[in-house]
Amino acid sequence: MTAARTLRGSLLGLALVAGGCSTLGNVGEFADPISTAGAGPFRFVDKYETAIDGEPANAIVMVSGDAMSSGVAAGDFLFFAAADANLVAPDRDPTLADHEVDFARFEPRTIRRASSNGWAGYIEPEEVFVAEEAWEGDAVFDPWPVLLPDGTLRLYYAAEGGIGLAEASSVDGTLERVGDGHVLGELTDDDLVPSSPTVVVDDVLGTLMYFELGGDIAVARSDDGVDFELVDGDPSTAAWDPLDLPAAPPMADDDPVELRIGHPGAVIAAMGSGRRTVRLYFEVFLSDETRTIGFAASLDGVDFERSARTIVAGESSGTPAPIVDAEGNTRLFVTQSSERANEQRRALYLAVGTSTELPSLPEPEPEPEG
Amino acid sequence: MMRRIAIALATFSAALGLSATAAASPPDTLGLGSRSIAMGGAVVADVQDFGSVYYNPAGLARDNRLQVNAGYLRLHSFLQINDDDSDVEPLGASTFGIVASHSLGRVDLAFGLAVLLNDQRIARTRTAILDRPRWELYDTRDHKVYLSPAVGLRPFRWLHIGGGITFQSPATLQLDVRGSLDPFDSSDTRFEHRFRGNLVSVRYPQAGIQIDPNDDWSIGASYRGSYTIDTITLAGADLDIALSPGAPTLAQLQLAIASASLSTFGPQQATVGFAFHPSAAFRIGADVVWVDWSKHGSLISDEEISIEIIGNLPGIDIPSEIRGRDPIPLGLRDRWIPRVGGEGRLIANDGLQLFLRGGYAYERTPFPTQTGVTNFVDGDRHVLSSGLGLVFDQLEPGLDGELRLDAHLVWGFLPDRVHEKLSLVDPVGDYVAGGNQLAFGVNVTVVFE
Repeated sequence: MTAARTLRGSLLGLALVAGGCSTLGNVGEFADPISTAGAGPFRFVDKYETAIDGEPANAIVMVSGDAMSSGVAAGDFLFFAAADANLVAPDRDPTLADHEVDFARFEPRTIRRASSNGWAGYIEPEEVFVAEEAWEGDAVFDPWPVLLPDGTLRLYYAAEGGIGLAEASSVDGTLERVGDGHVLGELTDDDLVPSSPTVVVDDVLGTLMYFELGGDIAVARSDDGVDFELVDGDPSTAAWDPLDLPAAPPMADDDPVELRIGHPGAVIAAMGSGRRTVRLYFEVFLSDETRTIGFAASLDGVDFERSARTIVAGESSGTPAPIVDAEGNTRLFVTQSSERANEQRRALYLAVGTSTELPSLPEPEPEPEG
Repeated sequence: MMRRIAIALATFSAALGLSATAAASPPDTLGLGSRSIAMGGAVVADVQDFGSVYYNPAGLARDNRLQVNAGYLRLHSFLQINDDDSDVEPLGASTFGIVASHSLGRVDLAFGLAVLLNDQRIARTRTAILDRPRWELYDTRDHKVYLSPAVGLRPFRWLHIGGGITFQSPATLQLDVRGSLDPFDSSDTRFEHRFRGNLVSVRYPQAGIQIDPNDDWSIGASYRGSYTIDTITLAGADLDIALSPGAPTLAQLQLAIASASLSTFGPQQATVGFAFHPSAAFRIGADVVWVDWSKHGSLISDEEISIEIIGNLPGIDIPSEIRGRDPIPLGLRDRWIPRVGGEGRLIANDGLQLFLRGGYAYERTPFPTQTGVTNFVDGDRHVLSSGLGLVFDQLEPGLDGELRLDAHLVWGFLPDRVHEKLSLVDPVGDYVAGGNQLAFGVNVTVVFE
């Protein structure tokens, strides 16, 4: 090959490369990757994501005329507590906050199960568990389902006398109490009765149950998920203590202050580094009669760090129940006020991470003006 | 020899004294000139093409011929955070350069100019959002125009010195809004606004020296000053609130936002290196670069916000305290970057020479792991480079000189780096960041005798 031929070939190649490259100068958008721990903040899914139509709008399951108290999914099913309207209801308790449900004005709560509609919504709710034992009183509520690796369903629940446990051979099977069902009863000298159980199962931490106890949140540990032992939330003191979850001080003098916390919902989630934390969401009752959701996280399940951030919007959000779905996204089930027929009730909604995209029905085209 | 070194140090010091203020620039990531890039950038001791303007202005006076250069280069970043593509935009740029020399008695004097024109935009800037992780060194800061003139001198056959300045542009943006606001009927609301932008150049100096103790060895050193590009945004609104145009003013709303952010900081850099070139067919070199990253200011903007309503507007309560934001120290550390590279001539016949080149650099990240509220992602970078060069030197009568064609291919590898947050409730949480980069480019240089 002579130098002249090489030169011609090289120049031709260079011209092709330069010409091609000069067309590549497309101006792109700013790279804006949203990377979150999945711990919040959350957004509420809408009716196009739930594929559920009706009132209240954007609720994930419709139970006409009923009041809900809490709900959480397991597998393709949603377990929740609801109560039918009582036609001869007593007067509303005047001490309750405006957005609170007066469950004395409803029939006793029972636990229902609805199945997934393939979107983010649930359909065909049916009653699957009702109060029968003496310790339960006349209502069962606050269900927390745990699916074991062999497919067995464990359903922790609350009743008037404490926390109980029922099992089914599968998530859609018939629930039977374990013994008389009673797992945790009166726990302290103050006759405080535990409620609102939430359970996480971990190879390292064991089975941990968080529950509400007298305006605080406590934790118990178990090896088998049946027999639980209280864990001291603050070993530095001689007495038994609930979890230490101090509120951040108000930013301004006229900001509402925190009165109490309750109704925990827990999940174990892994971050990008592989570190696993227990994430605990809970109700926060404020002095201005609003309710919001707090968040804390822990490596050992006992020593928690609390977040000062707002996790979800709304002044009546409560009963948080987190799960991690098959894609690794955190889904947070919450209830919010839903006033119908001049009666304060609550409906069940789903919140997901602000960057989480769920399958969605096409939204209708806006009608032209005029 | 000691006398030579003393003279060299004195002239280098004098060159530094001429320097003004100063620079991270697109060439810090991309390099400049395919030949130098292919050799890992380890050329401070003997660079002599238009890339001298960036690597060491002293090299401009090495070759007393006129050189004209044009090229194109691209950088594609395939970077991930938690295995999700970070969508770092590819970067493409055209390069142009010229080196012209003249002899004044026994002293050779050369002028060089290097331009790197981003083919997407003149400049790009944005402030940082705390909870949005971004690849700080590759996301925005390389999207700039690079323009640098320099001069080189060869007072003795064994000594080369040079200096120059590089231009960059910051921005001051101001938005003023005034008018009247009807809170009950938006159709009666009237606004007018004025926007002012001011792009002012900043300059930073560079200087260098090359010494040839003998025909086989060269040693060199260069210095680049630091520069800071700030973006200052001022927004103000002065609104009369009334029920309708012409109606008495109910109240006056005054809003002022002042945001001062550091867009880009270029750290001062000093490089020393050597080159061994026993013949025209073989050359190796090694550099060490000190980068003064620890002087990097905060990339979190300093914001002040004030809202005031003068008068009585029932139902509207402005909090007594509205938070702005304070800068957060980044905690960067100075870094030493080793570079090695070389070339060998494979073919030399009939006016054609073919060179094969290779190089390596290890750039340890100056950014600490992001354990706090900031999320400026970066990682150590291994840079493997390679390239080919063709030289045609028998082109008369068409060209009395040489035609050089150079191409380079670079692979950058950023191993996964774990960022573990101190706070368990951090909204971003822990993440793992890493990836690969691919850069390539071509250059054509015409050398006139």
